[in-house]
Amino acid sequence: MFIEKLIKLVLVLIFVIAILVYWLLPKTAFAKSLKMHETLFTLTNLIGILCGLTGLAMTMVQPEKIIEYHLWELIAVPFALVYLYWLLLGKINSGKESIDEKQVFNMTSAAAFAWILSIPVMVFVFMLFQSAVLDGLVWFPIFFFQGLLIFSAATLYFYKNA
Amino acid sequence: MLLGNHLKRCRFDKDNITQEALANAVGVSRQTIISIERGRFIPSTLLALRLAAFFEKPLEQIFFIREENR
Repeated sequence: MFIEKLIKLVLVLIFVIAILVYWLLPKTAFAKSLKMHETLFTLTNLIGILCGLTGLAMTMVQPEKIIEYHLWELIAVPFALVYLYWLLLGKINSGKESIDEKQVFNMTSAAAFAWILSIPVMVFVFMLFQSAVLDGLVWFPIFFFQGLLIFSAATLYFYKNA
Repeated sequence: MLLGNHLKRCRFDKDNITQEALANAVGVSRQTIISIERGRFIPSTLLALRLAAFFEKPLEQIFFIREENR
């Protein structure tokens, strides 16, 4: 149980630090130099793909521990932090568009694609539950990480190729 | 019907401005300019007007309607 407590402590610390940064950073002079950039958009989606792949791999390898030790929250942290940074940029540059119309269009298309693809994936997960291959709350990390993986990969694909 | 454009020629005419510089000038990403130039993405009216204003040309000198299979 030491690992579980340690992970919980790390998660709480990250949460507190992130909130403090979100609250304090816009008040500093450094904030004016921060702006949304194309590289950040690409990087966000790459982090989403990595988090999604790691989460799915961990869920397959250690389905019980990923819930018990709060590992799935820890794996999702990098992506959550990058999105918090997006919110921070939105707060600093209020009134200005953070992402352009093509990026919005690609994210919307990717969200629809991820939603449609999540239906057969979750049907497959349901069949695994019915045949007692999986049990407990492990369906949620699978749902979360497959959604994150498909959404991020599709956004990046549409952005670069459409 | 598809939307064609002379964006590349306009950039060339305007001191051979880069895609990056044009993107910064109209407030979009470089990838958006690339996609518009290749005809893969149709810009909003607002962005099309911003581009026209930047090149100081009427809209129809930059964008035009083209029939498919041409």
